[in-house]
This record gives sequence, C-alpha cells and structure tokens, in this order.
Amino acid sequence: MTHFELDPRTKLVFVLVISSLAVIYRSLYWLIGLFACSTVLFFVFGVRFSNLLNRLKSFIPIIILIIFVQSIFRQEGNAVLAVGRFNLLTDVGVKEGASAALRLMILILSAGILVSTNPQHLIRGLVDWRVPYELIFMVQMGIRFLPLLREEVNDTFAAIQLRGVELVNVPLVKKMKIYSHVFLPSIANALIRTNQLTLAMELKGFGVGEKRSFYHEVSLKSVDKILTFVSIFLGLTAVILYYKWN
Amino acid sequence: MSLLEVKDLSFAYKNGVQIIERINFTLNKGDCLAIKGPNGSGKTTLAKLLTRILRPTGGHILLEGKDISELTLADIGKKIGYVMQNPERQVFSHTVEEDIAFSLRHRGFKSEEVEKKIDKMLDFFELNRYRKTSPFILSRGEQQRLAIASVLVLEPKILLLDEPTTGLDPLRKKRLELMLRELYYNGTTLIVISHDHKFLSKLFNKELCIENGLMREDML
Ligand SMILES: Nc1ncnc2c1ncn2[C@@H]1O[C@H](COP(=O)(O)OP(=O)(O)O)[C@@H](O)[C@H]1O
Ligand SMILES: [Mg+2]
Repeated sequence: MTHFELDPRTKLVFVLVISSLAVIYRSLYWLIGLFACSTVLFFVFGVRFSNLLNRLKSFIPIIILIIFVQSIFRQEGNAVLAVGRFNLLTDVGVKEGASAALRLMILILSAGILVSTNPQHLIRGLVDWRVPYELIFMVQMGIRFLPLLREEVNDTFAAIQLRGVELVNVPLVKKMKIYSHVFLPSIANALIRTNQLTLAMELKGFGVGEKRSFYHEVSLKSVDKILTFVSIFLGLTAVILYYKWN
Repeated sequence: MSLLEVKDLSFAYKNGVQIIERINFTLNKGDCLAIKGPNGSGKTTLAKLLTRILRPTGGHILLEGKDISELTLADIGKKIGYVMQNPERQVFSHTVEEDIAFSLRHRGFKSEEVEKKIDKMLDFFELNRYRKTSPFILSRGEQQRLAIASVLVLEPKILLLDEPTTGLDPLRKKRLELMLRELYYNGTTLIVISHDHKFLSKLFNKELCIENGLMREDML
C-alpha cells in the first residue's frame, strides 16, 4: 500500500470536499460513484481494509434503520411490497433509502481518512490556519472520551435492566421513560469529568500563555498545495456537473 | 443443583485479545468466593460475564441450573445483585430514596411496602440523611452503599461486588465488612472481587485467582 505523507490539512480538505458532495448529491448513481471514489481514497491513504470493515460494521444497524425509515413511508412510485392499498415499499422509497445509507457510509469513510493522520500535526496545522486552539482541543477531548462515554452508557443500561426491569417486550412509552434514566447519570458524570478535566488542565497551565508553542513544525509542501487546489477544484466541478445533468 | 456453575468459560473482546480462557468453578448457597488477580487480569470482565452484560465466546454459565444466555438481564438481576467497580454508573434517579425504590416501583409494589423497604435500607446503609439528596453528589463510599442498597431490595441470592474497598478509609471499610458479614449470615452468597487481602478474609471459603486469563481455584 502506498503511503503519502500528506499534510493533515490536505486530508482535511479531502474529507470536507467529499462530505459536502455527499450532502449535496441526491441522485443514487452519483452517490454510488462518490462512494467508489472515497473507497479508493481510503485505501490510497493507507487505511487498512480490516479497519474499513470494522468502521462500517458498527454502523450497520443505523444504516438498516435509515433505509427502512426512508423507504417505508414513500407512497409514490411502483409498489414493491403492498398491504391492501397501502404501499409499504415502493421503488422510489427503496432508492431514497439506499441513497441515505450511501450518504452516511461516505461520511463515515471520508472521516476515516483522518484516522491515518497524526492528531498533533493536524492541530498544529489548524492553529496555523487561525482556528482557535481551544476549539480544536475541546473537539479532540470529546473524541477521546467517546469510547469511555459509550461504556458508561452501556453499564447504566445494564444496571437498569439488572434492577429487574425488562427492556424487551415493553410498550414504547414505558421504554422511553426507562431510557430517560440513562441520560441523568451520563450527563452528571460528563459534567463531573469536565470539571475535573478543567481543573487538571488549569493546573497544568492551560490557557496561561497567549499562544501555544509547538515542538513540531508543519508546513504545506508544494504537493499539498497542488492537491488541496485540485481537490477543491474537482469538488466544485463535481457540484456543477451534478446540477447540469440533473 | 449448584447456585452458580461456570463451565469452560472463555472470553475475548472484539479486538481479539483473549481475556478469559476456560474458567471453571461452582458456587453453592452459603459460599463466599474471593476473586483475586492483578489489575487488568479480567476480573471486571468476569463479573460482566456472570451478569450477562457481556456474552461469552465459549462455555456456559448456569444460574440455578439455567443457562444465563436464555435469561434476560432483568431475570438475572433478581438473582444476582451486581455492584459495579464504578458505582456512579449504576445510580440513575433524582434522589437517593428514589434510586432504592426504582426496582420496587417498576415491579408494582405497594407504596407502604416500598416506604418500609426504603427505610430499612437507608438505616442499614447509614444513608438516612441523604434521603432526598441527588445520588450524584455523594462520595464514592456513599454511592457504593447506595448501589448495594438498590440491588439488595430485590433480595438477590448472590451479591457480587467489584472492588468494593477502593476509595474507602479504614473505618468505612470496617463498616462495609460488618454489613456484608451480616448479609452473609442472613443467607446471601457473596462473590467479592478485591485485592485487599485482609478484607473479609475470614469469611471466604473459596478463592479464584485470575492471571493471564488462566485461573486457579482454591478451596480455603
Ligand atoms: N471494552 C473493552 N475492549 C477491549 N479491551 C478491554 C475492554 N474492557 C477491558 N479491556 C481489557 O481487558 C483486560 C481486563 O480488564 P478488566 O476485566 O477490567 O480487568 P480487572 O478488572 O481485573 O482490572 C484489560 O487488559 C483491559 O484493557
Ligand atoms: Mg476491574
């Protein structure tokens, strides 16, 4: 597999271009094309295939749900599946659902390009672009705490059920009421942790200096500049072409 | 029939690292089991397997003869009271008393009965003055006592505690020990994960040591 050592910002531009296109495109075929492109890019940037599968795997339930929700209530088009006079599934609906799912997968894939990026370098680059460091830091912290948060929520869910409360085969309203209990500890614990983190950061001198200094310098190489330009150019072209042909 | 029977239990997380490999042990009524092992050896993982929060990759766990994979978490919670290593994750109500009452109210107990049980628990776990307090501002030790109280209202046969002594001062530890001792003498079977060698040491009749996923069971 090839390994370009591209500037993280160049990758970020790629991601932004691809995800913008994913949001703009409404046509299934265009989305399929875009999906193919982002898969190729994903490999070019040296993210491994297993990583790709893992990434998509955890989103499968959501993707299925989206396909389902998007397709089920469409009435126009030819019925694929009907109950009496009510069209449960139409060809338009299926297309719509598939598009929505593709859109989500493209977003996940393109974000995956950033996985191959050294976060420190990305931060350094973004600060050079005058994005406030505090903002970047917070986003980074949020991402870092995400797995922990997930485990916490899972534990709370389990704890509620272990208290003798069924979550399977109960009416939706009751289920929602029980689910609402999960938010309280999650938010409380998140706030407590934020507090601790703030204190820890301040003790370590966060925000004392006017400007953060960096150990590593990053600078856009000419290949980066060209690629950034090319990707923005291609992105705009892709938008124009799309509107011309649809 | 044993209360709890673990047969050839194996477990690996999704990343493929084998945490538990072919563990076997049985627990009868009146047993008091200590689970020991260094940090990261898989003690918490084992506790989550026993309560079906995690699904084993191999082997079986029988609770009163029934494979727990066929039971719901709610069924298991009526038999095993699980106090997590992070008790703050298992309290979730607005007030301490509501948290204790949670499972009773959801199971349709009458108000007077619920009140009576709450009073009993608050007394026993010395939480009376926090009755109307939010559980999230309690100290670790208090949250832990609350967590124990809230799982005990279902009167489980087994009480499973994951590192209950961390963060407790000697006095609190002593008191917790007395409480657990009393529960034990009243018929609760105990499983205690701990590396505190003194804690409850006189009570244990079985010991399970996990190291590198492997296990050594000793009868004490
Ligand atoms: N969700 C998870 N995914 C992958 N590995 C995990 C997960 N949770 C715990 N582990 C790993 O499993 C091992 C055992 O963890 P744990 O059961 O918490 O140990 P103990 O409670 O004995 O300290 C550790 O090496 C830990 O890093
Ligand atoms: Mg542990």
